[in-house]
Amino acid sequence: MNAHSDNGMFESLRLELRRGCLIVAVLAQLRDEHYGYTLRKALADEGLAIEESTLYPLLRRLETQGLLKSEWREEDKRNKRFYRLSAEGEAILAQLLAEWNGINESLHKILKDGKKR
Amino acid sequence: MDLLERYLQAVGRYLPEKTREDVLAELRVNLLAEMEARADEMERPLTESEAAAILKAHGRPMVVAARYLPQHSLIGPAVFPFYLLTLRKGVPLVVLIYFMTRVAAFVFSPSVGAFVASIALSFAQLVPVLLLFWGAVTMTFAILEFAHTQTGQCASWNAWDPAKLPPLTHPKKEKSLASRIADLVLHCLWILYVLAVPQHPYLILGPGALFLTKLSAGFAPVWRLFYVTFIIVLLAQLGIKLMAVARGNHRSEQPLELFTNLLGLVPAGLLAFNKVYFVPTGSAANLHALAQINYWTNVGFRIGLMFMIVYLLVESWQYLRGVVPAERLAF
Repeated sequence: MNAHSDNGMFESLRLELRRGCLIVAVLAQLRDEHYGYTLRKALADEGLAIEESTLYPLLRRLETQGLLKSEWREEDKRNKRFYRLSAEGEAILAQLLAEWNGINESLHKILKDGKKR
Repeated sequence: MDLLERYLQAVGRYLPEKTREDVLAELRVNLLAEMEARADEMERPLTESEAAAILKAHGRPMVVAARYLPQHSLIGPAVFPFYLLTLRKGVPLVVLIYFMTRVAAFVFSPSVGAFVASIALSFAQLVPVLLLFWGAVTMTFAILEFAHTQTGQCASWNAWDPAKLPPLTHPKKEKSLASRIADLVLHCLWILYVLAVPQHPYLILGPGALFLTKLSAGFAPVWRLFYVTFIIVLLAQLGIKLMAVARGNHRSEQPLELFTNLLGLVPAGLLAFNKVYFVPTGSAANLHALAQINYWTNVGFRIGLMFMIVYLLVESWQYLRGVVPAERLAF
């Protein structure tokens, strides 16, 4: 296997790993109200940069699924669409975080056991 | 900002009318905010090329618009394995049925020239047949996928019973030496029997030999040619059987057997495309009866040739499935 295909495989696995995490991160960040650009900036400031062409459609999808609610409101003389976590979104986020913590703990244990051997 | 509006217009072309305005308004605000933030960083307005770089990074209009559309797939991951399995199992069956019908047409074609032309034509016509099959299977599964996504039920797709799994298959045992020797002896006896036929026609015709004498009829010249080619095929098979006894492994035996079976088509073809098998030997011959016998013998040989070709196709396919990795075969 050459370096090129190694990189390709890593990139594809990395994307797969990030896909689910991004949704959790977006839901968690939207416990506070944001519009598209400021949300992206906030996530990037926390070290989780997301392409805008991925994030903006994702917001709409999550809204369609009932996990987010949005409203158009004027801010700085410009109409913006603000998103916030819905009640259903909060419940789902709590479940996802519990799942996330479970996976994280298991992974730590596996890695720790691997080091002992 | 003319460039931004042109970009939004291009994205809007691929969006449904119902959501277009809303999506574009949101996209405009976000892109403007990004451009302003960049301008603030640089402490000057953006140049046209800097604005273009931001839009380029955002993505090609068609791709950006596609991400706002509901995600659809013709055949989703739950149904796809069944779709692939149907194609894998169905394609060989379609090829077999197709060739069986074509072989029947070849065998009853009037001449050898027409026979060869039909073979070439058959291979050319196989492509649209396979495409049609693929299209029909894909359409069926697309409908099933649609039904599956509409009802949200996948229980029947996942319903299976471990108790109904097929029993373990054991790898084919190699023939023992005794069995290979017995095979060789039987083949030698068969050659001796065939060699004795010209002197003793009743060995192959039985009471029919007497019937021919009564009809004042004899063998046509085609039988000599058939006989020589048939003996050549038998000798080639004898060589393979000798090799099997001497070398003890039959890995190379199967392709050689396939080759001799292919050779066997030559004598069979000679008979199938010849229409005269029995000729009058005296003036008392019943020409009408002879013509009938020749006609029905020809039909019999042509049907026999058809089965030989189909058998050879099935054998070749089974051999190829065994030796060529699955991914190198179409299915």
